[in-house]
Amino acid sequence: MNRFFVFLILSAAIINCRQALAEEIAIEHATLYTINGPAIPDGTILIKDGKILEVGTAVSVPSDAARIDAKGKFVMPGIIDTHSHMGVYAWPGVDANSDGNEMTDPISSQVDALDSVYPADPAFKRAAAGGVTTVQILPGSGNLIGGKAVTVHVIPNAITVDQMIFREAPRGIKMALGENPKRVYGSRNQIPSTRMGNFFLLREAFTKAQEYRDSLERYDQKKEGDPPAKNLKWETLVDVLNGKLLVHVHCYRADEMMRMIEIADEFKFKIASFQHSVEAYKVADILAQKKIAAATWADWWGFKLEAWNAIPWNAAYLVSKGVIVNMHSDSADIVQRLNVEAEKTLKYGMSEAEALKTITIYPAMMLGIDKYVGTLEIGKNADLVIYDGSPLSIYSHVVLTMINGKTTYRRETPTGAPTAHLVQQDQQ
Amino acid sequence: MKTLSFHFGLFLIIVSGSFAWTSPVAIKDAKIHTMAGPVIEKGTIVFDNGKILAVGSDVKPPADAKIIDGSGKIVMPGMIDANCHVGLEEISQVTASVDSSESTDPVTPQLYVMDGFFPESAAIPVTRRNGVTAGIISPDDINVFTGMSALVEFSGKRIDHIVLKGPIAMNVTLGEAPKTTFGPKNKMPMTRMGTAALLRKTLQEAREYGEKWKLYSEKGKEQKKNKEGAAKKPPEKDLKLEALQNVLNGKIPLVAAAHRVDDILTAIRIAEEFGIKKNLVINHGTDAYQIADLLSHEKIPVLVGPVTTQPDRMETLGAIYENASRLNKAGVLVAIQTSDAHNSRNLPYEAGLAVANGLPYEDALRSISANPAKIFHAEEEIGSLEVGKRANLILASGDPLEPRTEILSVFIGGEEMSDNSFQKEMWEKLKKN
Repeated sequence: MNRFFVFLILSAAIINCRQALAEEIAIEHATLYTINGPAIPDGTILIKDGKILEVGTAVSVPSDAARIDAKGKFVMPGIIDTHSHMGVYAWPGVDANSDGNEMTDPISSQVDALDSVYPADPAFKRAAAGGVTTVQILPGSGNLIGGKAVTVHVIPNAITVDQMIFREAPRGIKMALGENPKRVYGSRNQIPSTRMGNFFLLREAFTKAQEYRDSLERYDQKKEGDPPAKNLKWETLVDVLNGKLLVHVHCYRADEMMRMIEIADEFKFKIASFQHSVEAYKVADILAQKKIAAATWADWWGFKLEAWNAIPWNAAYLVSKGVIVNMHSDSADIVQRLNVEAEKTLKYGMSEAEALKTITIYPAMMLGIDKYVGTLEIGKNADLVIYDGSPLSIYSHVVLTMINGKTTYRRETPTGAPTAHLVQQDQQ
Repeated sequence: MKTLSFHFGLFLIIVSGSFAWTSPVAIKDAKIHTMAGPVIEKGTIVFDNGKILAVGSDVKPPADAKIIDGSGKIVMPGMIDANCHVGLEEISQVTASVDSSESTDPVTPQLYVMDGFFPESAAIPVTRRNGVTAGIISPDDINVFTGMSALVEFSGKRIDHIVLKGPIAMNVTLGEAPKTTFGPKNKMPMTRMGTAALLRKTLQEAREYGEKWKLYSEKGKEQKKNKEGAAKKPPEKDLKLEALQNVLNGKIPLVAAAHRVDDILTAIRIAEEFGIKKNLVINHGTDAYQIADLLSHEKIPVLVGPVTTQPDRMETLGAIYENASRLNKAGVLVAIQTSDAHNSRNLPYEAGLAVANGLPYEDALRSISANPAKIFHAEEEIGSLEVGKRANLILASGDPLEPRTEILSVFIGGEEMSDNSFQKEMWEKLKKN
């Protein structure tokens, strides 16, 4: 009897769930920036089960679909940021919330940003209010190998990080070159205190990881004696060597990019992206040829010596040379206005179409999730953002943000103060 | 006699450096935001010898004027960053190039930014290219008394040609910065109480110092009048307390950096105790919108910013994008500022963001031109496009607050500035290769 009731309740729940998911949503009369084609004026997007069912001007909307009238508004794919520390450096920035840099060993491949992400970081709400749907959360750059990175859906009010993880996304690993690691350890009179030290330690780590992999393979072949002791640090690096992790390397200077490419070639792994890459314009042809993407800012410069040669033409130039570029944030502030950062590049030679790609499909490609997000295409996740004006304008507001067909942010009143409302919530 | 006055004139020209024997310049048929009246939809502005000669919709350029076609374009006063560190911080993490904070003593009112300013800073041409032609250069908010600021033009000229007005204000810091800097050194202030006590103690000493000198000089005069013997020994000089006299006698504003409401109120309370409330300016004022009516009633201006201030620190948890618009609506005189060296170039976009969050457009333009000029008593010189004022203005391809807009020409003291910069040079080099 009891069992029967449980069955009833469960099936009711499943049916309810199905119904909720089955509901179709139509966003109508909007200008659609699909990213994979020209802008569609007065277009409609039909969403079902969290996926895009149809896109275009001749979409037949079922009579029972929920309708969103987006007349005069602009719809584009949700913004994707390949460089975020939300959750691992949660607001407010006090020591107790500092969980992004395990600066106790320059090679910390065994740690995972996932274990530090605090879903209640109020920054997630503001990012959603900025039209952001997907971010890669990385460890900081205090270590040469900072640990694993995780790609998440920007879902405000999540209780656990499991509710946020982008399941289909491959995992990444964060590496960092240049000033940060050598400053952190150099100031303690430890290696690395120079760039020579940086590259030596990286080579040493990959050499050990190779030896570890060899010992595992030898054991697998012969099955003699005790299996090699598990080493979680090398385990992660073996995943790098085997191409299971996307490698994202924090690097400002072009000369260091070249040294890093040499290491990657030596140990036969691929670099997915250079992060920050303010000098990438100096080696644009090589990045294009090696198919290494570059994540960068529109105009940040001068805050450290390795950022001294940053020029605002960087992103536009890289795109013109065939490099995949992401206008990234590395900041819980800038992540809220990545559309405006993309707008900044227009003045330096970027086309509007390419500018929008730098915050949608290009970062999706960098994170290995372009099959699911990054364009408004049939079958892709219904991750999108609705603006009340051109996305490439400082005056435009995000009206609604959606992930898998579910609203993650809605601007309550056209002239209201949504951010104030969010802050009040945060302070509770 | 005539020859003499001619020579005298020549002497002035050489000294000022920004004057030259030039013909007047006229920008014709542009949309002109004068900041001193309604927008001129299609007008002409004429300037020569560094000053504005005429501006209006029916102005005819003089016959010898160099004409710039402004049709379809926008003219506005050169933007003024109401609080920035340009020239004090070249490469932020290279200590040798940073002179923005003398954090060795919590009380340093005697410091003057121009003694640390680097006129050849690469940030100056970069900032200017986005339309920012001047800034209030202030020390970083670290010490309780941080020192004196100056109004500096971004012409990149020699140091004796760039200070429009200075020292222009005395700066103090409340809240987290002083206590987190000196507290760990077991030095006062370790708490907000400590900061307030240091403010009071210093101002009290400055007041007594001023009185001592006043008494001495009055006594001296009396002695002279009565032909009494040798003058009394003068009081001992104290450069810290000396620097504060202009604040106490109301000659320069007291700019108080404060984020939280309680910190803003502490600044107001102490200013009132020393009779200088009418010269008080609040810097940052992250929570100021929560007491907008009070600030409006007390006529205390606020240097809002950056507009992008986030609720990412304990003292900025109240940060909202609507701060500037709410203050403006309540009648508070608002200027927008970046608090930055390298990002001062984003000042127009800070103002644009304030517009997106409710600040009326013309008020936003004023917050980066006429308002800072007014707050720092420099409105006779700059901040608006009026006859007789300094020809600091920009010509833009469109809305100057929109990041895609190109700034076509920048004039400082009537002189067209080069658009070259360290960054542009690298770009040109790249294109050549």
